Amino acid sequence: MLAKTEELTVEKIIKFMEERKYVTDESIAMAIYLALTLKKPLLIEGEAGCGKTEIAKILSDILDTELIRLQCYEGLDVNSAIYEWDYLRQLLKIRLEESKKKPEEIESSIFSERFLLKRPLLKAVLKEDKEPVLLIDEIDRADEEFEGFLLEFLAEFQVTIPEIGTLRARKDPIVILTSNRTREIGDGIRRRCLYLYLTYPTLEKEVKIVRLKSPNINERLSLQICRFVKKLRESDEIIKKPGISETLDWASSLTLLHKDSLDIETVQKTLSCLLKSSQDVKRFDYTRIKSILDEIEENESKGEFNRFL
Amino acid sequence: MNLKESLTDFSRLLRQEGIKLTVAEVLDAARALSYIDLMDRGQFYHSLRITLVKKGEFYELYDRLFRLFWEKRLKIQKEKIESINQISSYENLSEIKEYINKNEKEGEEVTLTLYSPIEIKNIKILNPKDSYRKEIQRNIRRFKRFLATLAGRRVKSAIRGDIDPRKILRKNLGYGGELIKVVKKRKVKSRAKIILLCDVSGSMDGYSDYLVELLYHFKNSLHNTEVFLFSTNLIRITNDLSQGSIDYVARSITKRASIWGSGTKIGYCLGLFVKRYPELIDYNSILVIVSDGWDVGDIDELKANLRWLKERVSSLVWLNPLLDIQDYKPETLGMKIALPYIDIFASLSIFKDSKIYEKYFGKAIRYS
Repeated sequence: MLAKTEELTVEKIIKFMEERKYVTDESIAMAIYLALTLKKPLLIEGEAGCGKTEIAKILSDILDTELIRLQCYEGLDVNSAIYEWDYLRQLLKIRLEESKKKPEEIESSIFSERFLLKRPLLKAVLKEDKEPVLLIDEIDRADEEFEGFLLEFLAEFQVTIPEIGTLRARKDPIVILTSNRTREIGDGIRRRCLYLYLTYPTLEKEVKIVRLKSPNINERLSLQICRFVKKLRESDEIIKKPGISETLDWASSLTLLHKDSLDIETVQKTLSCLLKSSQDVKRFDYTRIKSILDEIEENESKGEFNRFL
Repeated sequence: MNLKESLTDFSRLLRQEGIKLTVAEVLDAARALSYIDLMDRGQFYHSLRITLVKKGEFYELYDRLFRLFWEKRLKIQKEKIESINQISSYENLSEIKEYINKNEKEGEEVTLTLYSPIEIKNIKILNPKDSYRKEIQRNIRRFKRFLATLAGRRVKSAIRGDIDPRKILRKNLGYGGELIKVVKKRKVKSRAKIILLCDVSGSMDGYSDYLVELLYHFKNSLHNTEVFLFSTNLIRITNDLSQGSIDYVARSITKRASIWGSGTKIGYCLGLFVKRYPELIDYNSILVIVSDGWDVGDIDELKANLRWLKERVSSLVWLNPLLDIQDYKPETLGMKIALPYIDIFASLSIFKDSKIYEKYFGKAIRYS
């Protein structure tokens, strides 16, 4: 079932998200609810792989609207974010018409919407039928100059193209910005946005996610996987801590291998699903893996497993 | 006291405790409250947090203040809240102190935060003269160029390099599409991310004004800079440094940082940095530690955290003000532990004196 923005409540958001296999809680649902009702952008910060981008995807699905994504990176400029003239087509047009038309006529025809390559922000502004979800992903990777430009865009939802004029959004987009905190986002952006900080899920929540996404998984194995991942995240020595997506990849791999529980050999063979740096893999040798597995076993013997069933 | 007044007082309490808030954000909070079920504790808690708190590191502080203000029904009178704003009248906080003591006895974890004025022992008066401005800005640029080595994703026009089709078309549009001019491009060096960890303990007291000057120009000359102060605790002041003039910044830092002039625990503070901000560290980051190395903390902790950082950053630079003293040898225990992990060991004066800069970066002392 799809929803209209004004009909959504916190409870409905939780229900719709869980129907789309996104295990959520009140803080996430409330942030979405307020972003929709107050019509303000939502800035989501948090560790890599804890489901920030997924929120925007699911929201666009719930609202049955287009998701327009702007992936930020160092050196991102207006040409990649808003618009670029299609120079090749403009040249062809000039060649075809130079003998038939006056230069002024050619000029006015080549600087029209037909020759405009629309990048994500312009697409969001020109969307007519329904307000799109505009995902500005990993804003921390863009330069501060771009952040300054974004401030202006978020305030007015308009862009200016010198040859055409100012274009104002026909339907204000629902804006979601994400950041992995590799750089401190300026206070200006923070002030204009509602804010949500996501951390890694609790053990209980992660077990629920694994079971929801991999329904065929053995219940004991799902708990062992989540406890093992939790231990990795707690370790100060790990450079790239595994996110939820890594946990799910590992769960799928172990299911494919028809495993019922974790053992040292399997963990060693499949550890690359979780650890993406050679240094991290080296650090987690036989002894470290064994000590974590022993601890998990000890917890199971104390009856912790039954608590989750 | 109605809800509007309570919200205003609560936002003042948050502001007083170090959470930056503007009127617009308080208005957002008021608007948010009109859309939720006020009797639902969860909705009330989350809507205020979403609208008023804009940094994850403040969530813990918000939790404490929320409990203190709303749940425990502490009757903070309006005039007393106002008195909190006067930094000198700490005795007026006795009611909060009393409340905390009471709760601690009952076994509840209620502690005051880093930013609490109660923790301020010495109010540091900073008076940066900004007399080395040009020299500092020049040497910061040289320092950045010296350390930036990786080719980034940005390109710029160049005489030699790869053909740039997009620019060629754009440039030749004026010639009716005849490809007369050729434009080439090359990758420019990536902007290195500089992370400054600055010791502001008692032994660094004599350099405070110069430090503020230096940090101010670092942040305002190189945008990709993160700045932290530490002594027995660690605070991030990156955004404070770009809020106005150098005098304004000095006043604002004094208010926020309650750690000026106290003892030093370098290892512990590096540990805090590693735990709280690991995402800032990558292969492109340059870690600059400004300290005289007089450490009174755990030496093993210092060693472990330096090793962790050294493995992950592109360069580890240590700026020690004592290096200006003739015959100074880095023989304190803290410095001895740190030296094997340091790539560049230089004097703090390199930025304010070009001759000293050239002495080091013409021939940087490399220990590893």
